[in-house]
Amino acid sequence: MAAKTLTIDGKMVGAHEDQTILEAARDAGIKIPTLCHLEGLSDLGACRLCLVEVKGSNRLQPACAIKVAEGMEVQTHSERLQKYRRMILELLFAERNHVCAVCVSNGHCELQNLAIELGMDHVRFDYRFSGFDVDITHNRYGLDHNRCILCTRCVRVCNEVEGAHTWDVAGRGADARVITDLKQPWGEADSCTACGKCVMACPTGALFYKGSTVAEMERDRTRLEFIVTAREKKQWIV
Amino acid sequence: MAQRIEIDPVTRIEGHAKITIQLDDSGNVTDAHFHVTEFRGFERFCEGRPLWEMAGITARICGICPVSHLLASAKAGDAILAVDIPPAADQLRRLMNLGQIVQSHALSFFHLSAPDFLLGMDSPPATRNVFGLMASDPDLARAGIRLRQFGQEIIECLGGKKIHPAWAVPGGVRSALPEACRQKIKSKLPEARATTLTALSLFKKLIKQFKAEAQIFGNFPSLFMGLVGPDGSWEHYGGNLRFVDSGGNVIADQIPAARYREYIGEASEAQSYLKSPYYRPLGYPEGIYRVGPLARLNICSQIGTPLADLELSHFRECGNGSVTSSFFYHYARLIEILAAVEKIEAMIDNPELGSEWLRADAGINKLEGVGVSEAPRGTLLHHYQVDANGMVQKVNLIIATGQNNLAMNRTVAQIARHYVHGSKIQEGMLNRVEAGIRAFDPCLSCSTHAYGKMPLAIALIGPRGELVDTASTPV
Amino acid sequence: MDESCGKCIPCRAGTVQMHHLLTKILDGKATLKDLQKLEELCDMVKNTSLCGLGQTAPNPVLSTLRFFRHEYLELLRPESAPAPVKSATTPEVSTHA
Repeated sequence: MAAKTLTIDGKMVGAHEDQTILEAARDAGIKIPTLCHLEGLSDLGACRLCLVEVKGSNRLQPACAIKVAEGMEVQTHSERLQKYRRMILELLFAERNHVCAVCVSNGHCELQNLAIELGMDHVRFDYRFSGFDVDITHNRYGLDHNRCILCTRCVRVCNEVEGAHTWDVAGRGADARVITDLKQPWGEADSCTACGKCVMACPTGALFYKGSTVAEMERDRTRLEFIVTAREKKQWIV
Repeated sequence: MAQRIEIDPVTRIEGHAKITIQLDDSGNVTDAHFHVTEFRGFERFCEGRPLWEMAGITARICGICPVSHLLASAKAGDAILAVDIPPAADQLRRLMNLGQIVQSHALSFFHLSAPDFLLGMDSPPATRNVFGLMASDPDLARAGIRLRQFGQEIIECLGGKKIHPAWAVPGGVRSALPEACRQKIKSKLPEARATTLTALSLFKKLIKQFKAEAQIFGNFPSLFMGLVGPDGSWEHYGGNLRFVDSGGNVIADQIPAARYREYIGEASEAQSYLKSPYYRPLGYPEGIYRVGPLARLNICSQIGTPLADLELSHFRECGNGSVTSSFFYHYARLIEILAAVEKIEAMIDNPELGSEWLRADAGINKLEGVGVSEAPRGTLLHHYQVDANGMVQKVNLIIATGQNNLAMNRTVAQIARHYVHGSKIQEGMLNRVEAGIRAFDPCLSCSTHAYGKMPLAIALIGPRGELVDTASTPV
Repeated sequence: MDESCGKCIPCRAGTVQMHHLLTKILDGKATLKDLQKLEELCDMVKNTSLCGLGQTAPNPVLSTLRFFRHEYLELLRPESAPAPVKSATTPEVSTHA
């Protein structure tokens, strides 16, 4: 396995050739914001928050999807990138009803944390949402489309880790929704094994344990990491 | 010429409202109304939310008494889960509600109403507020602010924050009282007790000075409603509903909250977003009843703590049967702070408060549930209907201030008839009308689901509806 | 808007907001602030979208803004139209509320 040397934010960094910029940065202690990326799942480059500037390319590159290269010079936190990231978050907050105050995930939400971290303290765009459906037909879990950001972590974790492929996306553009089976109510989706991995993976309050009250929904990601490590490395580290 | 006076906004109350006073050609008051002018719509937008979120959502109705909504909502949830909550959860919910009563009553008395009593109804409005009180009696003002803080800290100790804790949940509560917090509350109890006793003795001296007001401020016969324990004693969280008439006779007793509809009807009026509940057997508007501190002390047989019971016996001397003057809401409020402090003293060493058994786990077992709690301002009912998954289908909230709506209107009219004559508004007269409303400590953001700024406003209107004069106090 | 697949956020939510801002301008309800917001949004959607659809969707807006900016300005709410240029010594310049 060949090692590559690159510069991230002016810092010399060593990385394996099959690592992405995101992984190399993480190993070097540089945190690049992400929402759709989740350790152990395939990457898709949809949230556009991890875009970075790579010298010699006039396009911004998604750090989660681009492999490191020898001599690469990467900027992860330029003023322009931070401005774009804030605007992307504003678009998300304007797209659906993310009212933190009454959300089950208040205080434990990746979207909320990123807004705080990036200083997105208000939304300049007009709110475009009307009421979206809430599905609590499953006896253990609930889905609130109002809080979904369509990161598709649930779709990927169900397909790639659990292997059930209960989740998918229906519709296009602003009408896109995550669905269970062929858009049946979750409680009637026969392929669902009720394993709860989708709930563990969700970054916001969109998927939640039924019975969660406001600000109570915390996710245990270590379970997910345990399963992924066990599957990929045949190591059962609890 | 006949006129209408408009007080808009009314100040030193919680929420936004105005008062209109109608005068005839000779300048006498013919009618007066208390209007709540803004609308919030919680009952509508809670539809389609999971039951478990309701406590956290409805707590947001009010920043002054979020705990009351939290508890009424959690109790409606308990009813839908069809569970008995663990005894520790019951005790903890009670502790939080006592903290809530202390903080809200202290706010009403010291911050909002004391300036009228101590600085005078006719003192200049620019200094007739808590800041003026601070300048004239800094020790009392400070003690009052600290008393409110004490109540707030109890809420924070349990719920993690002073305002809008989403801590009570269907089936119980989320966390126990940490030992460090228990000690902190305990250490502050003596000061809370001392402040309350000081305020009580001060108020009793003032009663003589305000004899005229005590006769005019909403002094009329009405029913009184609130929760009582199984033995008829003072309640703030559990128990059942009781109605008492102005002669002190119990006319309906031990009514479970779930049967409230048989006893309480709700009327709407065009000029206000406040609903007007009434005692159904007597009809509208004859079924006028009052809730809150005055009602709770009128309906109970005893409080159950020594100092508060002693005060209760003095309080009873202010009336014949029931105490009917709304002016004595203030007195009742102070007695309730004392009762709350004594009840906290009695329970604070209970090891149950640190229990791990806090939450009954259950699914949806009933499609309908009613929860009731005594908010500082009076009885609060949350009524939910859900589907088999626990999705809320319908919400009805009966709020303390709404139940006092008819009584507040009558109070405004009574005070206006006594003090208002002629076409020019005297500030001191306006303030008496406002003070009549303040006695009820209304919380308009709760009751109407109104949003907006705090103040209340008066209008003087002619017989042809023309606005003659208005007065309002700056925000 | 109907063409966005919805996978990446800038295109999915950004084109909706672009359309909304353009409608607002056409309805004569927009202010100079809205116009600036539209320009910032176009720049972001163009540079951050995942595929060619989002990357090129803002182009018609950007090119019309470049060549027909005055038409946009004429549609703004009158009170928000840019103030006529005054000399630095004119005192009113700094006193608008």
